[in-house]
Amino acid sequence: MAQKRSRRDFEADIRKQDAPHVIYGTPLPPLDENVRDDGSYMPLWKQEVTDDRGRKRLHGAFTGGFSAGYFNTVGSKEGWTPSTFVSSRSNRAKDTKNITQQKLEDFMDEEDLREREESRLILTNDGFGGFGTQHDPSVHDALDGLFRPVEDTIGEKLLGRMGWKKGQGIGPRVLRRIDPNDPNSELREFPPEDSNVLQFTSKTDTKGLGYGDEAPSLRPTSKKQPVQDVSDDDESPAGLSTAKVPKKSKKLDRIGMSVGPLNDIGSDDEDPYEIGPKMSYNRALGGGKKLKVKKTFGMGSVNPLLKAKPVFMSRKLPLVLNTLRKCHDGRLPINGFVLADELDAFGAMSLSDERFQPPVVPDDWQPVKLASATAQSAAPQQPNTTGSSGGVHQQTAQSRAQLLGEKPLQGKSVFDYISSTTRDRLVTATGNTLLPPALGETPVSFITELNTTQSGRLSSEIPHLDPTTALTALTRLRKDKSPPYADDLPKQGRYKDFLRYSSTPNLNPRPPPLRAPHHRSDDDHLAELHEFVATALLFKPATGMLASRFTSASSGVQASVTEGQGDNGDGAEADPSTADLLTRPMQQKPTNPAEEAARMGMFGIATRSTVGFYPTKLVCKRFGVEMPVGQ
Amino acid sequence: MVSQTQPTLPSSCLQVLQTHTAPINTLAFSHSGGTFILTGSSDRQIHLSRTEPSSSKTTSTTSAITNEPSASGNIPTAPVITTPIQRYTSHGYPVLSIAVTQPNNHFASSSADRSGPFLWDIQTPDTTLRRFGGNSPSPHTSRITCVSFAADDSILASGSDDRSIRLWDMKSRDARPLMILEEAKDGISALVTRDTEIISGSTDGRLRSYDARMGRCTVDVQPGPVTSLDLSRDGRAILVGCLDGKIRYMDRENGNCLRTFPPDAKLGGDEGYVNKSLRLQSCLAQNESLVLSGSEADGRVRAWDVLSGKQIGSVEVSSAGKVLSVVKWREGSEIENRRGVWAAGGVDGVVKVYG
Repeated sequence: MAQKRSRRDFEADIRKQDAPHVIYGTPLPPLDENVRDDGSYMPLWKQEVTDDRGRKRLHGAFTGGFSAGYFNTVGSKEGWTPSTFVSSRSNRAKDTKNITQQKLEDFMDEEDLREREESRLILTNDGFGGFGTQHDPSVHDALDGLFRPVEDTIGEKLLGRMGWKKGQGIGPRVLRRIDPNDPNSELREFPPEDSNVLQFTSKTDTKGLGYGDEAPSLRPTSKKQPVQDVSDDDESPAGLSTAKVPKKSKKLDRIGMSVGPLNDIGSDDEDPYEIGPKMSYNRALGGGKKLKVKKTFGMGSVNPLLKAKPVFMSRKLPLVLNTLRKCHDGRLPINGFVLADELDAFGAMSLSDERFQPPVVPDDWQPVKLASATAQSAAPQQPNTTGSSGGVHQQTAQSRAQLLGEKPLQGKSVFDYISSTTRDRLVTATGNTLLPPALGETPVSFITELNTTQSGRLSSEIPHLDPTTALTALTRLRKDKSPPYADDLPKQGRYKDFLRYSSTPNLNPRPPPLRAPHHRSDDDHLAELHEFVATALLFKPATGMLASRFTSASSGVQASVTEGQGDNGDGAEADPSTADLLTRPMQQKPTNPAEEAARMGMFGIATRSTVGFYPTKLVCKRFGVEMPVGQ
Repeated sequence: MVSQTQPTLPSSCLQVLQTHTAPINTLAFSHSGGTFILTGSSDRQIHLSRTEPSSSKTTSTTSAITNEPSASGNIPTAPVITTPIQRYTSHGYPVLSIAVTQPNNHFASSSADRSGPFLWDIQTPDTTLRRFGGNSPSPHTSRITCVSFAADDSILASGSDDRSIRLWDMKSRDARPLMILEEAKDGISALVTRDTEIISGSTDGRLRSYDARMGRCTVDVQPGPVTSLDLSRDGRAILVGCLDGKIRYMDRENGNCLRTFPPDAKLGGDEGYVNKSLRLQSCLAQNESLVLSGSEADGRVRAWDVLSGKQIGSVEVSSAGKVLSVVKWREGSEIENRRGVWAAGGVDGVVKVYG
């Protein structure tokens, strides 16, 4: 008897149908855990709607009753019932109960709350505002008292409590003479002097940095106000003024006239877009005239470097002079390099240190280049002219080694092992005719073959045939009524031997396939082996699923022909009792080579195969192993 | 120089269990000692009995071992047990397989219906602890032929005629199988487990060894449907019973066949062992030096020597010549003063214990 499903399973089942589209990942949790979404019957008490705060949304007007002004209390099961309230003389309500006060926020919904937030303003307190700006209360104008309440800031209040008086500085007491001018007066401790508060002029224009420094012509010059010069006191360096008003342009000085939008005052000499210092070029031919140096008293920028006219000095000049120099052998130095005429500091340093001294050349040393060339390789030698640099690409490794005077390498190159045909292929592929000649050697480690071959390369060039295919071809050979090469029995024997060779790849030592006596050259033998591969692949029977769907054709004509000969074929064909049947029982299906091998008793490689097994994470955890790689 | 003694087949009957009324399908000894034996039969019941009669019952144990007639001149007859210690009757269909956990407190059983393996507590025969399948989202869909515990009793593996092996979680109460292995093309007939491997034999003639550590499944092709499996203790060799009439001792490392029992005609001759259509379970015995198997043709249990491959003895278990479907060995140990015994059950519903 099947057990009744638990409620949890039942509900979980229904929940699963909520999001059938979810294939990957987990579906979103339901809005309401207690409510089923599939349209089944829901009792009335479960059908109530609440918002996120838990308050009931639809009041009595929707459900048929009326609210009577009581927010969400009418319409519930209790209706409008006053909550119980008990307060006695001994047990006062206000003492014991934590009376839940109803706040304003309880009655406000989201719109009301948002409106309240928006109407809030954040302002700074009066006592803190205005520090450092022109509204700073510490800078007292006479008019202040009229319009603003004179009140100490909080900082002043705190300092006052600590013993500070207005007008004093802050810090440790200073020893000073009572009368600063008289050196004989008494020394006494005084509080330090008050420091000046820097006044910053707020920038009201849109001029850029450095305005007023670079374009002296545009700076407004007014005869009324003297232009501030560098000899001002240190407390107001250039750039900071003491509440100055920005000046108007020259044109405005003339009463009634104004500058147009381009700031054009009519002078042709002034370029409004000019940024750099003005250069006075010689505009007339036949220069050499001494230029009048305009002395601008008080004019010009504050920057002393800009007073003088800059002189152009080319930095490339020494480079240009150096590039034309050649090395001692007459060749130009390499691209990007320049012959040095003097050592830099590092060079001088290295020369002095005896560690970096160049080695001492013995007197009898001869450079190898001048030695007589001994023929090292068969590669053609290019005459090494110092002037031509094209020869560098026409040399081989051996010739370069010989030029450099190196000893020839002891190791063998790949060209020793490959055949001449492969070398020709390489030459045509790369286009480089200067490849070393190919010697078809066998590596020493490879000579383990029992059968001596003419050249070592033969064993590596035997065509590869899959062992399973070879096995199937072997069985086919055995079972077939007309095996391949039926007319040439020795060839069939060689074919069989090749199949035997191919089906045992791991055998060691591995006897090579039989070789026909009339095949003198390797190429003929190899050609025959390739033919065997093609034959094996051609006669490969279908395996697996395909085999179960198809059977080999056994034509009636052939059967009747062979049955008369009385050869020992497979069951039904040779059986004379079935000769006159319209349909013959099906032949045995072509079997799997692995099954064939198992039936023959050849267990091992033939019967074994591997498939991936990917245990789940939990299974691996139970087994106590890591999840195998390759998932 | 003591020559290596040839292992012998114990042939004195210690006990006869006649508690069932239908063919015996499966036998399982308890672990670490094997004092108890669980028998599952086609009468839908599982019976728990003692393997050997308790020492008070045997008159002379020595005579039983040496197989000589006792002082009274009579060959001591083996006691016949007709009532088991416990009966477990929850199955509604013939019981096909039993597996016991290591601590001997639970066992799992499977039957010919697809209600899944049952997990029992040995002490409570009235009800099962758990039932896999039925309630499960993906239970077996055909009869479950073999069960086995794996991964230190935390996984219960069950193989079925629906071509799947399902792994059930013993630790959690999840009704879903941990994993479903569906590589087989035909029903699973035998399962053995060891460490991190699960080896299954299937009627499609393949031996599949699933290794969780290496992440691969090694498939070995057998010439016929595989009906019985028994793993050697070191896990390197496995005894495979096949419906082509041969039992093969296979090497698991490279898939070679180490021995075939019965040996070929030219080596030893056909001794009348037949296995063509029924599931016969064979096992390794006597410290893995012998192979025991029942037969379809006669009611004899044959023993072959693993080293030489020859048959060294046979015992007539069923005088009526009934098929002996299952033979199981319980290893003895000198330290615990326990002898190795083997039990054979057949179609006549009788289990005989020999030692």
